[in-house]
Amino acid sequence: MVRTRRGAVSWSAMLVGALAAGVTVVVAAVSSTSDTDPIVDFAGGGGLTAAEQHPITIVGATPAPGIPTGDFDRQGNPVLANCTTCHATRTANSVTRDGTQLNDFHQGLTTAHGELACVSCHNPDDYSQLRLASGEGIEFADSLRLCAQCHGPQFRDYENGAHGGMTGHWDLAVGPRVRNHCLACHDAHAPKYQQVMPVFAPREFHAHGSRTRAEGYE
Amino acid sequence: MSAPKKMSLPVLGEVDRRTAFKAAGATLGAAAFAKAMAPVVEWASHETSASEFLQKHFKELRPDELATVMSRLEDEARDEYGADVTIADYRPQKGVKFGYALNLSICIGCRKCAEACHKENNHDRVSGNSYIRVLEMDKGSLDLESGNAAYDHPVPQPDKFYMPVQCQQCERPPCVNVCPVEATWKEDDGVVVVDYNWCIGCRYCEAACPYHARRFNWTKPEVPAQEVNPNQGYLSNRIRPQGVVEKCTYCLHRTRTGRLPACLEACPTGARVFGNLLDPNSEISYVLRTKRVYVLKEELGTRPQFFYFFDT
Repeated sequence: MVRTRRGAVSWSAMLVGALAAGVTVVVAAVSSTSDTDPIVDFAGGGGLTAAEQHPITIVGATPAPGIPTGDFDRQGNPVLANCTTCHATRTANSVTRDGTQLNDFHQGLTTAHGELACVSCHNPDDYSQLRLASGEGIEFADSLRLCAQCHGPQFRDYENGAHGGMTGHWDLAVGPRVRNHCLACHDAHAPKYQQVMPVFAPREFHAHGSRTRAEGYE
Repeated sequence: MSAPKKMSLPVLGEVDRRTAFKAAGATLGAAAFAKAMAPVVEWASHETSASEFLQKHFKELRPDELATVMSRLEDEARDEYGADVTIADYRPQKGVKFGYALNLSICIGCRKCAEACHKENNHDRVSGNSYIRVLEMDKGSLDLESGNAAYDHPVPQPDKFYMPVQCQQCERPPCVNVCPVEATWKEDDGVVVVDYNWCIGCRYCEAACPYHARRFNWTKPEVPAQEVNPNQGYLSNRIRPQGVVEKCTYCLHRTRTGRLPACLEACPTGARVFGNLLDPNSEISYVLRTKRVYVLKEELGTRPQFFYFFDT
């Protein structure tokens, strides 16, 4: 179980890998010592103590982003410029909401996330971080807390294992589980789940072979 | 009066007309009988071994007898499908009763669950069988019978919602009651199972199920060797013979070893919640405690252990 408290953050998180494919956060058991209620408490252990329980791994958190410089390193990976490379010398515009409003960079970035401005989530004092509504700066890997401050019902269900995809074991006494981070399914800048084409169209049994209804079976 | 006309047959030599017709009739009769019996003879000699014919009901098999049966089924899978499979008898766990819930606010109708079921459970590739049928429903209606399973356009559509339907693992399963040979029954963890070797294929259960959750193997399932899921349960996803009924078992070969069902793992949106109803800290208990869940066709009194809910 992971317990993160208001004010003092005690995520026991280990970052593995740093490319844009996503950071794996291994959530280990942390004992509770605070007098305040935990705001992150992943259920699903079935009342097991930490020692009896296999870990829950959360995948899909994005690391601190970077802007492609156009160069490639020896392995062929794009060289990214840190946000702070530019933003350390620029003053944040608190009303900017969309990449199209900017003169340089981020033009391709369109946002569809309520009425949020860039600095609603990004930390204008340190662009390598995000910022909570309280003013507290947090790491990109902790973005779950940022989402949670507005999306309470979803976060409540997520905490209780009733929101978000997962794989592995229902019984954590037997084996571990892998859970999706918010960002595994939702783009932070346009979080609405996109339409998809359905797979695996049903077929009807037919004496001369099976055909899908789309192919003209009546 | 002239002498009776003599006819000649190559084998019988000189015979009279009556004898000739008798012989011809007997020959044709024997040939027709052989032709008529050919499917039975073929079935008995190829499809059914003596040990399979004499196999006892699942519940009467001693452990060593069951082991022999499963070993024979593994050999058959190798002979007929060219696949090395492991068939085991997964038993219900003490203190575990499975429940499943599905969030209809989140399901987008992508049918990935149905596809995962198809692969996990070694379904016939030709008919594209799956234990899950995803219904596209008009918002504002919960009429199961008006749902459309054959939609073929981007999902989700704004005026629709999507309801996957599979076996509801009823507490009072009508399908079990109607089986004339007790080839299907409800186990202690709530899963309704079928002994495919005991089923006579009468399809009464299929007719009795109000959720259209049972499937019949009209043909011998076709599964390419490299696509056969080798992790198999005797009462779940082993390749079924032709002419028997099959159904969702909550992937008991996975879930009785603590794993999540294949349809849940495949769900890209996390609409599915699975767990132990007897554990108050489980995810499924949380859903039942805090969401306004409903069951399909509650008025029938089948008491499904599969629950639907909308985000609240």
